[in-house]
Amino acid sequence: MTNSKRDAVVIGGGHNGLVAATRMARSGMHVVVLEANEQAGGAARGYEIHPGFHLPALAHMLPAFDRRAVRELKLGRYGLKSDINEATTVSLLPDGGNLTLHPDADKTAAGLRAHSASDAEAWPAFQQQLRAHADALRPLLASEAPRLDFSDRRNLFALGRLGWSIRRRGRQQMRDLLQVITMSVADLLEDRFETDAIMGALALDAVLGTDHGPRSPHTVFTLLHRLAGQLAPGSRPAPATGGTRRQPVEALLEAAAAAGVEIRTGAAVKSIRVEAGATRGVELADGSTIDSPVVVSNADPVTTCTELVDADHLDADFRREVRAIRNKGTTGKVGFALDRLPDLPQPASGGPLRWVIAPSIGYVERAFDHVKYGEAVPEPALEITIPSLDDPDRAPSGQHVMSVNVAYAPYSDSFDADEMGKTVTAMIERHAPGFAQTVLKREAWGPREIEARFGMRGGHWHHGDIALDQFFMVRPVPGFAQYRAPVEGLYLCGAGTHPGGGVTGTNGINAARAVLRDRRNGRRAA
Amino acid sequence: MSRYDAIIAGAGHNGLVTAAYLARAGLKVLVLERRSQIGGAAYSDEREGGYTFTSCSYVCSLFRPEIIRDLQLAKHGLQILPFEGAVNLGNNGDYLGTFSDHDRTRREIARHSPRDAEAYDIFAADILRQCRFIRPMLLESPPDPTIGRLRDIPDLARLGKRFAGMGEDAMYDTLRLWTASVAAYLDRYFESDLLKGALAGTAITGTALGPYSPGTAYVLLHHFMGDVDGNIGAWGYARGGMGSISAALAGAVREHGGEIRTDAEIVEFLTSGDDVTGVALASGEEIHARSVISSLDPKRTWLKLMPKDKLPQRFRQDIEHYRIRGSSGKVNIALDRAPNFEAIPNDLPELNQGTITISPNMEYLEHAYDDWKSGTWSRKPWLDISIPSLIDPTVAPEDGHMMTVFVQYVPPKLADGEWTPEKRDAFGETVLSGIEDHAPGFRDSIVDLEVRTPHELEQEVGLTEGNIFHGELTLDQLFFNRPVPGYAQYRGPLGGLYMCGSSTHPGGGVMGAPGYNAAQEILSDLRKKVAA
Repeated sequence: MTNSKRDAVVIGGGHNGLVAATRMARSGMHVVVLEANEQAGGAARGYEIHPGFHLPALAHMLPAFDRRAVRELKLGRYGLKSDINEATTVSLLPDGGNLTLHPDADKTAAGLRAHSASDAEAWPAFQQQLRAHADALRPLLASEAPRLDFSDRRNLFALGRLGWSIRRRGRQQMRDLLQVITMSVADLLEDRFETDAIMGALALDAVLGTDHGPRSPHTVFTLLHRLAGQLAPGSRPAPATGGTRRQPVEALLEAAAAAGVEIRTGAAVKSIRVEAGATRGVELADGSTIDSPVVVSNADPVTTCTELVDADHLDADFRREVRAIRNKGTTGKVGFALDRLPDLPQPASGGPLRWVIAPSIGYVERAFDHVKYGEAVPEPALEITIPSLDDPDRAPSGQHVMSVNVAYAPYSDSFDADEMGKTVTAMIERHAPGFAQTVLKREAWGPREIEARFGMRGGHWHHGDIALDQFFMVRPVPGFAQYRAPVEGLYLCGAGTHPGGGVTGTNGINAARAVLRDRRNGRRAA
Repeated sequence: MSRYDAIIAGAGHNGLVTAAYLARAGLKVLVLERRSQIGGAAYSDEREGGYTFTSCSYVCSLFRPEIIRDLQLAKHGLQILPFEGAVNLGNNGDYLGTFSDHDRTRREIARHSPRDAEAYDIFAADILRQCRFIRPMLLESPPDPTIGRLRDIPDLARLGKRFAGMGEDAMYDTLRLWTASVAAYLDRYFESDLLKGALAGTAITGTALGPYSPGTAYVLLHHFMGDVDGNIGAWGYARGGMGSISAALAGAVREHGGEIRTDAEIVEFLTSGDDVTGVALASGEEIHARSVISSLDPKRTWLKLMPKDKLPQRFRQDIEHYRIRGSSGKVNIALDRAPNFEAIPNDLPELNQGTITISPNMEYLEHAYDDWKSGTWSRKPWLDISIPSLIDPTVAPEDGHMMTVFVQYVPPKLADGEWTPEKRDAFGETVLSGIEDHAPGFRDSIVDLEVRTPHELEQEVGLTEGNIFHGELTLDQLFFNRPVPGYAQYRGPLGGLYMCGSSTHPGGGVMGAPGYNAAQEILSDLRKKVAA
């Protein structure tokens, strides 16, 4: 088949592409998903690091999946629920000790007491306050950003509604939020605590996956951004392992198939065809074409708008804005196949576990001081998970897989990812003696490797840094935050759009809604 | 019965502005200054041999023209001398000049990058549009959306209307300008390191953040929104040094019957119930007044001079958390001849008139910030050098010159302890050798030298930690959050005590706007009392 016709083509079978495709198909559209790799799932899929050892490719912590996506795609039928168990965090300290952050604030406080009585006292109220702020941001994160075009009154109403969603939580709460959200996480923590271990662990949460250090202003925002995704009411975050729980990608693939979505793997798109300012379809790398009035790109905005669409079809200002998106990844990833369980402290917890090496704010900031100049980090901060603990099927019996996120790794030609792998091995060895001997296979990726493997320009998880100047109404670029590119029929649904990355499906569901709304309005006009 | 309607604590420029406006309105005003001379950080120090050091603040642009007119400061001797050019020096002997004439600047930028010359037109237009939006806000108390007061509603509506009136693109630009790092903001326009370095320097002035830190683009705007004689973004010198501004303001205070007392250190604010009723001086004297207005920074006002048990707990905590970080130093130098900066061509002498910066690129500045973070002064600092005597002969003897150097970054405390005279001199040495690299022979022309770290700025001028803005210009401390949430209207939690210093909206720089706004609030309260 060299030419065919569809109602919509989705470029890229990541979780957002699958959500968008399924949502459109459930509304009766004839949809094909084109995935360049041999397997759909993008950064949310699993991969076999060693025969019999399966790791989550990139996303090893899963936030709560978008509730509208779960409802509208009937994902519950396929085993995907919006709620998850909150992780317990063990911060590994240089003296060989550790501090555990439990979902239950009082338990955390009990452990903190050995470090500082005043911190133990301050912690429960602080955790509650952070969660309240994250909660207040959630409506903002879930909704499509309005445009600042007030000739359309709906934009004004949408802004008013968002303002009210924050204001209705009370005057003091709003005032606190407006004060802290632009602060650096270091300032927020140092005003309230004295224990390095607790501050380091929170600092890492604020900056992991971003181009910020804990002393960068606005990192309270990035912390809340992360928390808001993780702490939907009644639901909690967990490693992408959750034993009895289905992986989002598996559930999404089944839901897509049931809705009649056609998924073609090994189908790389060469270009998006545009005529007279309107999308006509796509051309594939093998030369075949698919006609379609709607193309939804799960690829990052820079790839979509500078590689797939010919420059002639986009105006110079728009292309200038797209090229200026800051999308250089800062985070590395190391996967391990292990002969046996490493000897890391395992506090009793109902839910999943993660370990961090981020003993202080200064430690994380010093790591950032290297990556900001594009240098390798001698002593990076780590977030460690062992997905096979919750999901024994991921490794042969008695054996394990480990996934480590590394803050930071530079986007640089001269960066040696394998050297980073060695550093990480040695760091874990210090906390779990004998660890290095149990490594059957190690694979380390810097942003360059992530870029090549997942086709994300810049190798950034979020397809574009999470920062206030690349957020909401100005994400991916000003005036185009509504999932529509400036070409009729071309939509964006990836992490480069509002509200950014994380396996939530929000971008996909919002993009599909934009497509469906435009189709409805178009029909009415016709 | 009080002898005074208003006592102003501190004779810095904002204290004097408030005093002058209140005196002009007919109030009986007393300004109390701890030091022997007035002016705070805006003062000139007459040295031996006919040199005048413009000790702390050194250039002028932000001072509000409305104040100059209202108080007739020209009559009281204030004259601003605009400079015709400025220059940024790189590492490799290259330079980038800027001129008061836009087209000339554009041609100079084209020498480095034709693309940047085109982008400069867009940048200048964009920044001007943002300045026009923000300038009317400078002389207004910031409306606070978090209080829910009736008076804020029309103000907020007006602000919203003006914002919307900018048009959609400019509104997005505002969102980014107020949130981006200066590096990210400039990267969208320019590629030339020298141009970006020159602009980024203004965004880190007085700021304990590097150019890669989000929020620094706002500080760039903060330094663009002034003007000299209506030319927005232009800078100049006050003839006779920055002390001339203070002297002119003092003239206006006295003209309207206000009193100024120096060597009068306040040690405590006197209270009666929840009201402030006067001040106690170090001499033991107590002076009562209907209102007391503090131009000191909030740490001094609320934590040092106010009896501890008087403050609501939350307010006290916010003041304790208020970020006021020293990050700047100053070196004042008397020279027996003009320095010769090798990179500056002889046929462009006007480039020496304005500020001569050493700011080769953004990474250079970020590295300088890294030193500050680790508790040392920058080994390779951002230098902002000016030689006012080139256009103002009153500040140096014939043939001699006065040079004043602003240095970023210098920490208030060093990693290995407090500042000592030896460490201060070592810091001075870093600055001198930095200049000597660009102007060989400069050292031999030095006849007098004064080195000031944040330690000296705190000890002498009374700036906490030596912070020149009375507090960081970050979004959590700007507009309705300045100095702390709920108290941005120049009033604290106690009756009778007002704030008028740079820690209030719209912040630091020799602008006078906080002093002006505070005076309006005080007068409005008095009118209400009279009406009642």
